[in-house]
Formats: sequence, C-alpha cells, structure tokens
Amino acid sequence: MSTPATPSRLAIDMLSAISLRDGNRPVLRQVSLDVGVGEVHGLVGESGAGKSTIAKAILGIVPSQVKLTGGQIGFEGRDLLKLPTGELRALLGRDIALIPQDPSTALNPSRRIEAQITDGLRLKRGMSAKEARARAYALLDEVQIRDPARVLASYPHQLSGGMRQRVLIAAAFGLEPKLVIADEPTTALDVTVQKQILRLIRSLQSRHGTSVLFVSHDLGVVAKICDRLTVLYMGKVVEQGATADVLNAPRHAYTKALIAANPRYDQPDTGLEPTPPQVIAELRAEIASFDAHVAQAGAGISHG
Amino acid sequence: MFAIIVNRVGGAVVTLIGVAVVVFILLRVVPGDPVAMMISPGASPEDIAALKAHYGLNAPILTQFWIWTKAVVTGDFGTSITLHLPVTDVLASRLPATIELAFAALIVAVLLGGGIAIAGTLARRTILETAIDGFNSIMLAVPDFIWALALVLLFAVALPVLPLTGRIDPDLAEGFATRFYLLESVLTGRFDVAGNIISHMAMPTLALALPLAAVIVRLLKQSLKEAMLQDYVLLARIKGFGELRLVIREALRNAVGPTLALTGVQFTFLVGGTVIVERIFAYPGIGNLAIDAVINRDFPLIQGLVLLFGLIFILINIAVEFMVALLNPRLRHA
Amino acid sequence: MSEAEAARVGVTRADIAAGAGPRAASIAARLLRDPKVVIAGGFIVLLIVLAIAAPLIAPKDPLDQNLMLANVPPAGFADAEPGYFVGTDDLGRDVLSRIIFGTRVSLTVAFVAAGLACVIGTLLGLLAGFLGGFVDTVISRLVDLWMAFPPVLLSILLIAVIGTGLHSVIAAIVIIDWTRFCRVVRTETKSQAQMDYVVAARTIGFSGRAILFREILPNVMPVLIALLTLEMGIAVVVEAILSFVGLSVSSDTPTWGGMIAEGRQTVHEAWWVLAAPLVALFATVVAFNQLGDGLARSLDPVMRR
Repeated sequence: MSTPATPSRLAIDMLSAISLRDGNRPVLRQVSLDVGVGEVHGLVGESGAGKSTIAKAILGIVPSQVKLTGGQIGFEGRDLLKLPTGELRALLGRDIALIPQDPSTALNPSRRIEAQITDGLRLKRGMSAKEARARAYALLDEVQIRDPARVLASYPHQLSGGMRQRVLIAAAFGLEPKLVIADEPTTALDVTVQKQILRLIRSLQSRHGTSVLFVSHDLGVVAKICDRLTVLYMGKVVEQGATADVLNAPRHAYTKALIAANPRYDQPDTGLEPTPPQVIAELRAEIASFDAHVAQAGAGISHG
Repeated sequence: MFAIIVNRVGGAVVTLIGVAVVVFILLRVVPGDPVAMMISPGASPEDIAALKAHYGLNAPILTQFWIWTKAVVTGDFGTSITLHLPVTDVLASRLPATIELAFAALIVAVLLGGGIAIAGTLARRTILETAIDGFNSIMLAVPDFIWALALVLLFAVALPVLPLTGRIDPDLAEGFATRFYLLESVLTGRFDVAGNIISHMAMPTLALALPLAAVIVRLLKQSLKEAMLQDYVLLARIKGFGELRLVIREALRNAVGPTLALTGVQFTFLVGGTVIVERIFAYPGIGNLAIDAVINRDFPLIQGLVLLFGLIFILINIAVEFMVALLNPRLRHA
Repeated sequence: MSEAEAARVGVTRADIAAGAGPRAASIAARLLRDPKVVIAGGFIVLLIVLAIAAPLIAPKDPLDQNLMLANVPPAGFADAEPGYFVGTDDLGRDVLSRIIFGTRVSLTVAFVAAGLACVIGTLLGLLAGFLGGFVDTVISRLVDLWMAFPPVLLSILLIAVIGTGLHSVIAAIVIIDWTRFCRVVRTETKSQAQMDYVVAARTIGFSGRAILFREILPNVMPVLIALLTLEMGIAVVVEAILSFVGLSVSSDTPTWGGMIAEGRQTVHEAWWVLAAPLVALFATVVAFNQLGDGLARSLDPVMRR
C-alpha cells in the first residue's frame, strides 16, 4: 500500500465485510487505504465494487445486511469502528462530513435551505441564529451562488440540481470538517455542471485544508481532482498510488481496461471499450485465490 | 388559491341548502302532531288552530318552506316550540360549551396521538412498537360512546374524584360575560373556576379524544416511519443529529399531511359524537340539546340544529383543505 | 379492442365463462391460520349461539322481576345470591339472562342492518363506478350530501320521524350507512372497470350485467366483506346508542343499550348493571372489528387476480 505525502488523516486498515443476505459473500476484502491531511483521495470502482460500503463504514451507517468482519478505520488516532455511538455522533458533522450523491433527495423538501444549513452550524459549532445565518450566507457566497439571500429563503424544489449540490457542498464544508466524503457528487448532474462542481470542491478543499475521500465510478472525473487513487474491484484493492502514476503507468490489467474505457474527447476514436473478458477472468482468479488464502489463514489460526 | 376558496364556498352553500331541504321535508313527514303534544288537554280546537297558525303549520308545504327560507336568510330561525325562545338565541347560548369541548378533545387527541406516534417511531422494530400497535388496534374499534360510559364507571365507582355531570359547579356559574366559560376564566385569571370547569370537562373530553387519538397514532406513525427512510433524514443523521431530533425536525413535517387531512374528517365525527357524549354527562351543549329537540319534536329547533351541524362540518372541511395546502410548500408556491 | 386483441391479452370466452370462482377451501384454511380471525370469529359464533338458544341457556327469565332481590352484587362479592352470576338490577331482574337475551336484538340489527346497507350501497356503488357519467355524478353528489349530516343526530332524527321499534332502528342504520359501502365499492369498481380483462370481456360481447357480477364483483368482494364486518360492529353500537336514548325497541325487550341506560342511573348502588352490558358491547365491537381486519388481510391477496 502506498503512503500519502502528508501525515495520515484517515487510515483504513484491512477492512473486510460480508453480505449476510447473499450467503456471506465477501463485500470488502481486506481493503487498506490512507488519506493524508489536505489530500483528495479517489476511490474508484464499478457499482457493487464496495465503494459505498467503505463510505458507510466510516460514517457508521452500514446497513444491517452487511457485516464488518475485520479491520479498523483510524481517524485522529481512534478506531471509528470501536467508538461508542455518542462519540461517533459527536464526530459526525463536526469532523467528518458527507456530500451526498443525489441532491434531489438529500434535502428536506419541507424545510428552507437556510434552516438546513444553519441547523448543523448551531448544533455543532454552537452558533447563535444570527451568527449561523451570516455564516450560511458567506458559505453560499463561497460556493459561487449569485443570490445567497434568495437561495437561503428558498425551498429545495425551487432550485436547480446544480444549485442544490452547491448548497450541499456548502453545508458539508461549512462546519470546517477534517474529512469530507464525497459520494459520487457529480453523478446526478449534467456534464456541463460537473466540471464546475469539481472545481468548486477542489478550491474549497485546498482553501480549508480538508481531506476528501472522493468516491466515484468515473475514472475521468476522479482523474481531474484527486491527488491519489485507490482502484477497487469486487471489494479488493487492485491498484493504489498517486493519480499521475496510476494513470500513466498502471500496473494492473483492470486499471488499464478502466483507462481505456474512458471516453477522451480530444481523441474521438477512443473510449467506451468494455473491459476485455480475459481481464475479468484474471481478476476472478485473483480474487478466488485471495479468498482461498484468507480462508486458509483463518483455518490456520483456528487450528493453532 | 383564491379560485379554490370560491369553489369550496360555493360547494358548501349548495350542500347546506340541500341539507336544509332534506330536513325540512323530513320534519313535515312526521306522523304525530307536535303542537298537540304541547297543549294541555282540554284546550279548544280554536286554541290549537291558533297555535298552528302561529307556527305557520297550516300553509301548504312550499309556502312553509318559502317562509322559512326567507326567515333563515334574514337570520330568523323561528321560535323553539319547547323552550319558547328564539332558536338563534338558544343555539348561541349552547354552542360555546360544545365548541370548548370539541376543541379540548381535539387538542388532547393530537397531543396524545402525536406523542404515542412519535414514541412508536423511535421504538420502531422493537417489542414496544408491537405492543403499541396491538393496543392501538383495539382502541380503534371502540367508539366514544363506550369510552364515555367506561369513564363513568371508573370515576363513579373506583375513583370518585371527578364530577359526573354538568359543565361547572352551579355556584361558580356567575359573572361570565360570554358563554365561553373555560376560555374566559383562563383569560381573566380565575384559575380556580377554570380548574372546576376542567374537572367537569375531563371525562367527556377524554371520551371524545380517544378514538381520534387512535386514528392519529396509526396513520402518523406509518407516515413517520416512511419519512425516516428518506435520504434527507440519513444525511441529517450523518450530520450528527440524534434520533428524536430527526423524527421531529426532519420527518414530522413531511409526514403530517395525510394525518392532517384524516384528522379533519375524523374531527367531524368527533363533533357528531358530542350528541351522545354530552347526553351521558349532562353537558349543556348543542349535542344534548339536539337529543331533547328530536324527542320533543321541536321543529324549528331541530332545523336550526341540523343546519348548524351541517355548517360546522363544512367549515371544518374547508379549514382542513387550507391547512393541507399551507403545509405543502410546493402547493403554496404553485 | 377486437376479439383477436383480447385473445392476445390472454382472455378467451372460456376463461371468462369459467368465472373468477375462489377456491373456497384454501381460503378457509388461510383464514383459520390467523389467530385474530379465529378468536374474533369464535366469539361471534358464541354470540350467535347465545342469541338463538337464549331461552335454553339463560339461567333466569330476563323479564322476571323480584323486588326482594334488587341490586344483588355478582358472584364473588359480599351479599351475592347463588344463581345470579352477574347480580340483579334494581327491579330484581337477572343481569346475565338479560345480557344473553340482549344478544338477540344486537345481532339481529348487526346482520340485517349491515347486510341491507351493504346490498344497497354495493348496488349503487357498482352502478356509479361502472356506468360513470351522469349516473355517477348523481350518486356521488347524493353520497356527499348524505355524509354532511352527523350520523348520530341523523339516526335520532330518523327514528323520531319513523317511530321507534326494531324495524326503525334497522331502517335508520341502513339509510345512514349505505353511503360507506357505496363510496368504497364505487372506487374499486372504477379501477377494476378500466382493467384489461374487463375491456376484453366487453369486446367479446358479455353484457354489462354479466361483467359486473361475474368479473368485477368477485374482485370487490374482499374489501366488501371486511367493510361489512366492520359495519356490523358499528350497527351494534348505533343500536345501543339508540336504546340508550330510549328510541329503540320497547322497554320490555332487554337490550344492551337499555341496560346501560338503566345502569347509568344506578351506577353508585349497583355498578355491575352498567358494567356487564358495557363489557358485552365492548367485546362484541372489538370482535367484529378484529374479524374485519383479519378478513381484509387474509382475503385480499387470494381473491385478486
């Protein structure tokens, strides 16, 4: 596993999980990754690769049908998986925040935007109503919303998708957290808006020195703003390292296939090639032997 | 928004007219002579005829209806045959008692039902929730009539702490400017009197409130549980908010719509229930009055009462539509 | 839709002629598995038995007055009399026997009134939902108007107009509550009438009446049966309220409502005279309600196509 350039903020070590519904099928296979202070770390994989499970594990919202079977998540010197609920809740919102995937369902349709930004500020930063309102205004300004007063007084359905995502980004960064998890924040948006949002996240992140774990299935998106990458396939880390290194000199066949699959608008003849079957077959074999190894190790331990 | 109001009011007027016609017809169909019931035996036929003429019961039906309609439109509902007072005065004097009772029951039902629904949502997927569901399912079956009598039994025999009849102790019923005894005594700071009124109202209020509370528990809890599954609740949870806060701040306002609409409809049943509950507790409102009026065949009073009840129902329905529209931001800014 | 298209939808004359007949045996088996249905149903069966065999089961004559034994407490309390298990009222009549005989009035009203309201409401609902247009508008307006009256007030009013007696009580309940059935059946019919199999049947040439009764009605059944059971519970309560107010059957026939009224008067001296019929009423209402709930749940998935 490669190490970040700065001291580690989030250290996931050998995280494993199984799906209780699918006959204990492994969902995460000893995943390890490190996010440094002020680093934007991309977590890339197809749907079902286990990216959102990792995000949920960090936030403590793993669904009941998934069971974490090993590993730890180090944050600020503490293992998040072992924290009591009260302490985790104290951490959430203040030190760890989320930018959700779908801006249309992530905002409460019956509450004004102002309330949805200020409630976190007042709860976590102890601000008064006045202070929180002023801060919310400043935050909306920071995410380049032209008429903050109007947006604050609006309801979600009165705003466009891009605006709502900016609001969510503002709310996430507004608490000055140490780590922001961005869960496919541009997936639900138009391509034209995607670029702006990415740039926004990058600028906010660098200004506040926030670490970002950027979850995405789109290598193209991740390539634009991430310092380092982790490539996930079926719950297993297949490649990890600095973005430039991974993209220019990918070591794993799957990564190569992913890169090839990405449409590049400057080269119209490339892109959207499905992952070649032999790569898939190799991956499957790799994972099968990994699982066998893990099972053997487990049996070995229980014997010994 | 304005168009909707006009539409509703128009519909209400039409319904009210329909109600009036039906009542009028019903009462004229009655076998038995109401006037003869009132007159002392031995009265001469001339006296009876005079009385009939006085109450306009001799004229052909259409004429009677026309006379009555004209009078109603000018606010004159005639004179009560049994009480010998103008119907409007009688209604005005008894209505405040029922209004206080109905609203007290509504408030109790909302607080009780809402509270239990929230508790059930916080306890979802536990044994407590199953218990609440089971209990509530039985509560839903029991009408106010049975509750009223069960309370009579309880407080007459087991815990004789509450008065079983009336609205207020007779000696305290002095010095009121309006007939809104409870409201007035609270607003003028006469809390001892207010306490006395509340002790009288406790049982009828509870009897009326319980069925409504059961309905609220079932619907609100279901709506709340659905709302709690939404993404915005998850996001709020990730922001670090506690469970109770999530239910009340995030889920409640999105869940309350259907419950509000149903509560409005059920409130009309509650008002209808005052007829029998007031009777059981000898509470001097329009419900109790209605039973007497019907038993004594007091036509003018019955007509006035039925129109009054009809009007109340219609107003409640309009109010509910307003509130539902108000609560949904999408409709408001449509 | 032509006959060819109907065939594509998978419906032939034979299919429709075969009807939607539910497999009665499997439904019964499913029902018996639900504890609510069993307990509630069993209780109601018990009531029916009591009503029919009242003269044989009741220990005493319900009308028999014995002023020497007035206000005797139930068995187990001090001063109780053997043979009078639930005590006597202030005229010395045996409370238990009166309750047993009271089931007759309650159940008669429940079945007849609810049944008639169901039939009338269902017919009008089917018509309104199936024919639509003017018929629907008229019936719907009528229902709306009807529902603007407070039910208790209307029933009392009707009795005052029609006069007292069992037939009046039944008539009053039917006149007031047919609207419940009508509304529900109309909505169901409307949604069913738009489904493919009905359109197909129409095309193939089945008359409106045949479709109504052989196709739509069976699919409306589950809701209807559940509603009917609930309505029976309501009818029992309405009868009790009316006899409480003195507007039901004549006072020599024992009714639960009448007993409640009398018991209310003497609640301080003889609370059991109020408690016993109240408990009987409570149990009956809850039983009908739970039965209706259980039926609604069990019948629905089975009978729907």
